[in-house]
Amino acid sequence: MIHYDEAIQNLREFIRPLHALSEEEWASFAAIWQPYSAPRKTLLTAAGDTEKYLYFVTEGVQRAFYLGKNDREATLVFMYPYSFSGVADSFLLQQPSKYYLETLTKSKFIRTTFLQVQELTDRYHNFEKLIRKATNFTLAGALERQIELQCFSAEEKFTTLLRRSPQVLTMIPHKYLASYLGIDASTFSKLLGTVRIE
Amino acid sequence: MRPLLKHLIMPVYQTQTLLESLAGHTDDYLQMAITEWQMIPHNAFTQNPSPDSWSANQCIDHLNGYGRYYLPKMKEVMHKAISKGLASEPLFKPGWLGNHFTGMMLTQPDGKPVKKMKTLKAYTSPQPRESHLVVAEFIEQQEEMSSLLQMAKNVSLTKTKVPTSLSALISMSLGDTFLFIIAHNHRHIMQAERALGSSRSSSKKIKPFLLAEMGVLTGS
Repeated sequence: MIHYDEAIQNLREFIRPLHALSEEEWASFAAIWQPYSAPRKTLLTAAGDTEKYLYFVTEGVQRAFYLGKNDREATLVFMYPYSFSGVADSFLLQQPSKYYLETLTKSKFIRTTFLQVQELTDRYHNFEKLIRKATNFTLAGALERQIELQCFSAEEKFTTLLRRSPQVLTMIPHKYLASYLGIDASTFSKLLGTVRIE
Repeated sequence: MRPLLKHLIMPVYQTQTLLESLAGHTDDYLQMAITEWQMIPHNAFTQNPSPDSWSANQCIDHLNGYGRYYLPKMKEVMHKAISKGLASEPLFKPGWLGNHFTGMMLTQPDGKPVKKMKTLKAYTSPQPRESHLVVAEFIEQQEEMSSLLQMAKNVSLTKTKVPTSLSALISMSLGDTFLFIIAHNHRHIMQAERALGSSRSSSKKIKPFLLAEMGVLTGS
């Protein structure tokens, strides 16, 4: 129970800067969440599944990734406290996901379903604004990341990641970080050595 | 007479508790590798504490050698077991050999081995491989081990057999293989931590490997 109450509070703090909800809207939003947890390396969503859930992470790390031909993998994004999790585009569009979502460590969430979110967006225009604003930020982030991947050198990508989220180095196996940056594991390791000397 | 008797009275485990304990230990090793070892530079990780003692790198690469053989084998036999319908059972009974091997892997409360063992030549690593590769392989193997422990909930730990690396003619039960491998991991991880400097407070994060805490029922 304690975890759940804390999670709801964290959720409230998280959405506060996004958009203001009335007390009634917030109460309705707070009511649609269920606690959920999963051990390490659990596949939450597979490519081909339609993302049914919107998660809010309170503990642990997950990643969304793409599996290409010849087992080629690309990590799209990491999720860790406190943020939403789930395959965003599949959830919003209610179309089959192109990506996999897995836990990298044992993880704790609260989660809700598309139907419950939809019911709220139908009921409260203000709530739909919240969803729209959150999506806007996600879109802006995706564009920024695309540019980084195409234009930045390995070193620039590495230092950008460290500046933004220094904690990931000791939270996530480096092979996933390398995959996320689109650089190979040896390059990543070399950069780790270089940056430490500074 | 007494040593023989000891081998006749073997522990019996509650399967679910055993698998959860082993998953917990594996998770600890993974956390250690992710939060600490990944960040240690090659020079420090490959340092021999004394001419006769292994570096952390050698310890972990030794474990990787075992994992390279056993993990794919365990996955293979589990798939076969599932298709053969060797369903999970509430209790697991170790075999004589498995129990013996696991016993040899056990450490004292301070983490030092109860019995010193000379490792078979094939499993010693002579040259220091790049430590980030060794740690990365270890992480990958422990992730795989986590998955296998989940998968193992669906099969009989007793009836599913794994051919050992000693000889294909010698098999151990799946349960014994998990116990042996993870006890072996524990032993060399403690050794690696000592090589890195036993004053590290992080070493206390590796809890002791105690069979008594893994769902043992009073043996018979």
